[in-house]
Amino acid sequence: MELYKKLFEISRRYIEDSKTNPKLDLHRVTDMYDSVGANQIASKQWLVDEAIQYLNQDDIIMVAGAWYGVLSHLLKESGFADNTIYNVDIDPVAKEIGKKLFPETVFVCDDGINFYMERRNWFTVLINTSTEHMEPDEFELLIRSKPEDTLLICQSNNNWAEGEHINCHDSVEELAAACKLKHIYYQDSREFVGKWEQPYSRHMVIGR
Amino acid sequence: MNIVFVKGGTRYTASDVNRLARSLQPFFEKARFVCYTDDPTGVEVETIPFFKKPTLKKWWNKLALLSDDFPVEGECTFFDLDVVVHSDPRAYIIGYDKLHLVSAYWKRDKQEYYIRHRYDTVVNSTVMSWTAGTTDHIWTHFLNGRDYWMRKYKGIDGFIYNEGFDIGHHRDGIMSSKANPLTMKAAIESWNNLEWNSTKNSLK
Repeated sequence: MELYKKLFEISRRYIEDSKTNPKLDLHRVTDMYDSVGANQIASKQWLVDEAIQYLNQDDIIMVAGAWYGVLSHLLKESGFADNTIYNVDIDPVAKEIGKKLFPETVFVCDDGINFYMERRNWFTVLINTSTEHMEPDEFELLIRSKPEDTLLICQSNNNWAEGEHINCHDSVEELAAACKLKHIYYQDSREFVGKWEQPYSRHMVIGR
Repeated sequence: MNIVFVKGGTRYTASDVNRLARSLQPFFEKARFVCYTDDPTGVEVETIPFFKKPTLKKWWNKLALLSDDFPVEGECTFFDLDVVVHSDPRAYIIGYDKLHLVSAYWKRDKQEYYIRHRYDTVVNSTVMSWTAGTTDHIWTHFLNGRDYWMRKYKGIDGFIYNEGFDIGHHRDGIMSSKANPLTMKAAIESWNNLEWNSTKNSLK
């Protein structure tokens, strides 16, 4: 409820400001709403529900491709309020909005893979829910650069219909293989319905 | 002069490229014909492979033509593959000093297309003209927010129109849209992605 309240406040401010600022991008309001749409919340809550047993209070977590930081908020609400969570996204406006929505988490505007490569030893947990958006070789680089003892939580899907999805995985087994983990704690898929009513599967793998 | 086509995926074929190149050849006898593609098989004009990165789908690949890394020099004219050439288009293509596009005559007088938060467009990229080396800022701007632009806009026409670039328009008569035909006879007839594959087999 608190999440939606904050989001309404920020989107209302956007609409008000647009009356005097003709350059203000009103699509951001739609984009913010999309970030808390049914599929987004369901897939991120699924992640939190399954990952919770593998996370510790002193974990330092990086979320690659964090968008507005909704996942970090759900984690904070699920018993990890004191953990340091880095939301990394290449979109500078996502950082600006994210900081207003969730000031208790860290927002970084950078390429998630570059940021992680340079600081891989900072983090005990790497979360990537944007696998389908990443260039396949860059995703592989991210995976290969992960220290063995870092917990990886990774989601992808088989929804090739979206224009920006360039690295989909047809099955959870395919995603698990791409994650190159020594120990897999969890792997499963769930069914979703996409923008054009087409069904697709979202996959999740957790392991080290 | 470069005549440029883009063919990616399986929606359009090498035959589409070859047919269109033959149709345009009489009007651009000295031009270099190139096709930017992920599959050069069967293409009878010079091919330029898709950039390795970023991986793009469908019409978004057209933006790569505007990059400084796209290996052409001088004036360029691009044509979509789902068009039929009826007459010489050159008289309608008046500018290469900046990116020029088709003025979408079927939209431009309708107020609904100017509703601010709709982020629609009154230009159409079926035929584009520019000079290589002058449009890299458009490509760079796209790269800087790629995923967001692809969520915000249905295609490159909306992106180009709404992101505030200095653009020009071809003369009316360059193109007639199959779905919204122009009253005058146009040089180019465009299917604009609609029912092209069921139509093209009847073309020579």
